[in-house]
Amino acid sequence: MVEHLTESQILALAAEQQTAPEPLRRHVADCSACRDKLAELRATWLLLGGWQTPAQLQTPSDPWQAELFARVRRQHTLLARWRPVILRVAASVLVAFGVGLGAAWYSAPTVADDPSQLAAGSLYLEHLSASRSVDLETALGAAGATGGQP
Amino acid sequence: MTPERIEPVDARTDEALAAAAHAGEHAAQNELIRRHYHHVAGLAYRLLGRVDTAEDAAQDVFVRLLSGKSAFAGRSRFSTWLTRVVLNLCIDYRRRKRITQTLPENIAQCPPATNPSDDAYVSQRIQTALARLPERQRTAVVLHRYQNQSYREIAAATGWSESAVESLIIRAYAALREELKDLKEK
Repeated sequence: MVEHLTESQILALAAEQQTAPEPLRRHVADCSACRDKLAELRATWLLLGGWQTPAQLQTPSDPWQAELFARVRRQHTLLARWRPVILRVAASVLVAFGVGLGAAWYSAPTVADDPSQLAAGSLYLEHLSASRSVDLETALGAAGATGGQP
Repeated sequence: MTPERIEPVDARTDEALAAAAHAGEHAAQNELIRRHYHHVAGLAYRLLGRVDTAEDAAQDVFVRLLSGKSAFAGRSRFSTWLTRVVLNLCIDYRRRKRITQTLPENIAQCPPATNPSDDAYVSQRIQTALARLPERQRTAVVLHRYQNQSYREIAAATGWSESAVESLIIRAYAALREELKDLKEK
């Protein structure tokens, strides 16, 4: 079975974007189907070239350039004027954030500082101890009843 | 017609010129414009369809380039990066409706050229045919046919895969072949 050229290969031949390898050229010479496709694509390729870029877009006009440089100067001026302000504001924000963070960390209350929390903690510990004692007595009592096995 | 190769007057690379231009060197700015205006304005024209809008878009591109607002970071070729800036700007223009009309309306307002051998007629038919393509196909075929870019370069500029670019271009040419088959090649 004849392996025809791919669309991409035919397009590359039509566009002459690459030097076609000899096998491709030989195939086109021998294969009418690929030759016809190539002719069609080549015609389309050349036809599309009929849409030219307008002359005024070939080179920039003097007014266009003048306006461009004026805009670039304005950009540079704006940046030169505002950069120190932006940097100062950014630095202030960072310092304020850092100080706030540090202050928050330093002054965060601990359990040892709060008497009500201390009291609550103690009650909880006592409750835990009491619960464990009851469980232990229950376990020991049960062990005694069963001859030493809990 | 493929873009002519412009021989540089200044021997510096585009990358070096971009850095010098950003620093305010006028000679570097002029050289960048001399080298790339045709490519930038031409691409903008083919994507937006109007000369005045293409000039505005080209100026926006160069303002970004020369002021450093869009800084070339050296991660790709300069021409690829510049193409990407133009493509993104043209997308912005269309989204912000900076072009008040789409391509077919632009063409409809031109004096109709009915003589098939008239260059204006051929141009109008080509523009209409391109305008009818889906946007990605149009972008791909414009870069391929009018900017002479390979699939790899188009993929790098657009962020699409090479296989996607190949598929878009093949479909675009097939559609254009069908749309323009009545026109004789000059």
